[in-house]
Amino acid sequence: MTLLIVDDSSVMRRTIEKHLSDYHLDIIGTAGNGRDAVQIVKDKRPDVVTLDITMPEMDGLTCLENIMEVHPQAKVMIITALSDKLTGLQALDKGARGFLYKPVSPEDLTKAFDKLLNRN
Amino acid sequence: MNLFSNLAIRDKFVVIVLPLLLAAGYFVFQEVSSNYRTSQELNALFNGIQVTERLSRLVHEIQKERGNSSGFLSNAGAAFGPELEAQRKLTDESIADLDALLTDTDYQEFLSQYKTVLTDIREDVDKIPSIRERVNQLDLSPNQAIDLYTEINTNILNSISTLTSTTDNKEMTEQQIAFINFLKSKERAGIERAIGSQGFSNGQLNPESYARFLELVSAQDAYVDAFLGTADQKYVNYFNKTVTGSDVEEVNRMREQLFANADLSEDPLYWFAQITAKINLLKKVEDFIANDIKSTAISIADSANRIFVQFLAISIVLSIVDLYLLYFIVSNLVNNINILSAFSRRVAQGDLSKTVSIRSKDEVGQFANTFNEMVGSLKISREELAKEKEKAEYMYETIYKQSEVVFENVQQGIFLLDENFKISNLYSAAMEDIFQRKDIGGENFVQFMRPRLVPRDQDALEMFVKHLFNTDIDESVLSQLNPVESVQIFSNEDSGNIQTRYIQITFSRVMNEGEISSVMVTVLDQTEAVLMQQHIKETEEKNKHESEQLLSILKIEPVVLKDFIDSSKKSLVSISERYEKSQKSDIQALITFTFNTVHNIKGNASLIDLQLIVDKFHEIEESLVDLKGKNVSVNDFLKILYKINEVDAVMSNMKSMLLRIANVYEQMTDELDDNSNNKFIDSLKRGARRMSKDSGTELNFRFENVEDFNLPERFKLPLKDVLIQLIRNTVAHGAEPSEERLSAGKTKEVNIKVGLEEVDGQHLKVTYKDDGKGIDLDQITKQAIENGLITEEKVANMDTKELTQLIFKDGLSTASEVTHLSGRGQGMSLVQDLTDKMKGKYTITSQKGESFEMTFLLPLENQQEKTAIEI
Repeated sequence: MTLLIVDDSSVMRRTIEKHLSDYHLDIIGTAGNGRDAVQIVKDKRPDVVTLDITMPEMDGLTCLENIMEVHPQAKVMIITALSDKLTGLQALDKGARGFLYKPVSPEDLTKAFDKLLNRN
Repeated sequence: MNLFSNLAIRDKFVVIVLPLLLAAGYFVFQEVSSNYRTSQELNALFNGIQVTERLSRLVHEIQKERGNSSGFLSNAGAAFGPELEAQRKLTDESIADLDALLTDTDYQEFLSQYKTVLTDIREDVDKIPSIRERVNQLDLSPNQAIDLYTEINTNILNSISTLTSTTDNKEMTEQQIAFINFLKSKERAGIERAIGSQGFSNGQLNPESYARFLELVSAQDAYVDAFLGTADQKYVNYFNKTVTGSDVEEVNRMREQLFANADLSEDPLYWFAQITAKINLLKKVEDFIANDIKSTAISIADSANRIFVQFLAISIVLSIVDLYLLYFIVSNLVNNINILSAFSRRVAQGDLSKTVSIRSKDEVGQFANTFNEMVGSLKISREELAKEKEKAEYMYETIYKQSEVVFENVQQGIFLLDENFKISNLYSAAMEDIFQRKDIGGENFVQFMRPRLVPRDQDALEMFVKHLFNTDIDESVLSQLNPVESVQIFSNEDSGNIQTRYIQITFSRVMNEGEISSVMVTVLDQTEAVLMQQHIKETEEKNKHESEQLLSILKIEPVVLKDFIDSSKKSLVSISERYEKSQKSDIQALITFTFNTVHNIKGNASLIDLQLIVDKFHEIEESLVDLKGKNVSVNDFLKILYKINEVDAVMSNMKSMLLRIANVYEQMTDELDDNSNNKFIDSLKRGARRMSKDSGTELNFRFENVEDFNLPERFKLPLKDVLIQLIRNTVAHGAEPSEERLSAGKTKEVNIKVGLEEVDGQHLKVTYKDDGKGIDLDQITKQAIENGLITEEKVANMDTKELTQLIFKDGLSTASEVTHLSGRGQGMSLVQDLTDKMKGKYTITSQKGESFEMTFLLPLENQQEKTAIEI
């Protein structure tokens, strides 16, 4: 199972990567902005994508829309610091299937991934 | 077919059976009529045979009379006389027999068909008397006589064949033909007897008779052969058995003589007797056949008749039985069906108390049994249903009512949301309280909430509720995005006021077989909790404030603080006293007075580092400045007064805290040692430090000769106020910027020296001196003119001392901006006031660019000052 991590903060990217190191996911890439993310999804078609909402170049919702367009089977988990619920709901509307607020603990992250991937 | 299906069962049966009955009737009629016809035919045949019997007997008698007549004529009346006479009687008898038959009423119908034939026979028979007459007269030759009689017989025999050819029965017809052939052969035998009698009478046959004889014998044989060929075997047997014996052999022996036709010596009477015997044998056969045919006909007719009658009877009986059975079956069927339908009507009306009883074991009977079973199970299910209903009622009573009670009393709003986002009709009563609405059931939840939420939350809620019913999205993921998890709602009260409530709405999916059947929604009114929290927050802030107060109090010498509070409170009381006394016209004077008072207290507060009070009075000052010189109402001033009262309350609070602390202290130390000038000095030093810090001006503040000097208590506060004001002036007006000071050869920090000394034992001399730039008289004059405190003309006539006095003018300030320290233009007038209060005098010595010095001379009085705090 392949994973792409999208977040404009390199610290956050590393954190997610570290938290998921024991989760048996093949991290095929990380992206710091929406445009790169869409390109990677198009090229490598990851099974799972973690996606930040506030990013330069292309915001998370637009990025999500583009991802779902090029790879509708992708399971997208939103990881955001944005507390606005309408944005979160819009993400679900656009096809996101997981949602987490920053900051994320390793337990929260693995639990959310269990749900996203139906693992127990 | 519709027409047929609408018929009653009874009529349906009729429709089915009627064609069959008609067909059966037709065949019965056919059969019966055929039998009847057969019977009729055979009756006719029987009648025909009866007549034939008479006729053949007549023929037989006429044959004998013919033979006797031929013998009588051949012997010219010498022989055959008595025989002929006897024979004629026999002939007449058979004629009478025939007549009797012909006139028999039973035969009239039958005979009517053969009227002409019988009339012809009767006419022939009527010729017999004339023939007899001519025989008696010997007027005929034997052959003539034979011919006359033969003609009659031939006619009769021909009639017989007509009479008997009336049947369709082939066998019968065949036997009749055989019988007629036999009769014809016998007739030839009769003629042979007559011709033989002639030959034996004359000893020879004449050629005509001889030829006739040969023909007769061969004709006889031919007819017998024809008879034997067609006749029934029993007739043939009877014929062979009967026509045999000596008589037949004698006739054959004498026949041989006649064939030879020479020396015919035999007695003609012997011949006659022999051949008559043979003819009698033939007659015997004839009778046998006639009787047999007759009895066969009778038996056939009888059996046909019997069959006809039986058939008719059976047909009638069967028809009756059939109709009766049909009637019975149909009635039974219709009856049973009626019983069943009446029964099912009763069942339909709910009466299950009875069963239906139908005795027949046909389909209807079976149906009735099934129906009974059905009613039985219906009864059981109804009983079970009743039990279930009871159970359900019990459940309703206990569970539903209980849950209703719960719903009525639960503090939370609870309801179910269906997939169309409709609020369930059953919801907890708290819902109506929370949302201030009745009859919420059935409303679309999103539409219901819309007017109560801010627009952003409205959109979020709509989206959220939609995802609640989306199985693709995990409930725990979704619950993180609940936009109404904690939300402020606005609702219109009945009074029209908009009420704000803080509510918490939580959603929980209700699953049924893997599907989301509905969503349970819980609404919690947290208004009280939130308000409580706010209250707690406010209280906390107040507490914090209080502890700040406490902390600020603790930093200050209790006596200093008490003095401050007491004097401040007194000053504040003077404001309200002044307000009560003042007229509306001198409101501006009131404002000025208030301002001065407040400014002074603020200065004091600042001096003892009581920032809280400083801030509050600064605020009041700001408000007063706004009112200055304006047309103000009493109300506007009242607002100020209100604020002053608030600060007054704060200060009272501080005092009570102070007293409590003092109590504690008192318990710990006998009394506060306050005889020294330390607190006076300390507070001034602290004030100087503070002002230095606030203004950024470095100060070197010091006292001279104070440690040993006991400052009278009454001077302490006013003097402190005066000195504070002077320090403030130094900082605000006297102190030059550091560079300026350094270039003028001065120290960077401004030096302030305060000296206290007793002079002439009656006065206290207080000296205040700084090394600032002194009083800028030009600036003060200019400012005083600008502020309208003095005219230019007056200034022109004033000396330096008089000009210096301008600094004490109310409202003069040279500071370019208003700060805590300066700018109000009140400071020096306050100094003047306080000096007056202490009954002292002052002098000012200012050297421009060098120093500012102010000296006070205060009268000392011999009185013991109480130094302890008054409680």
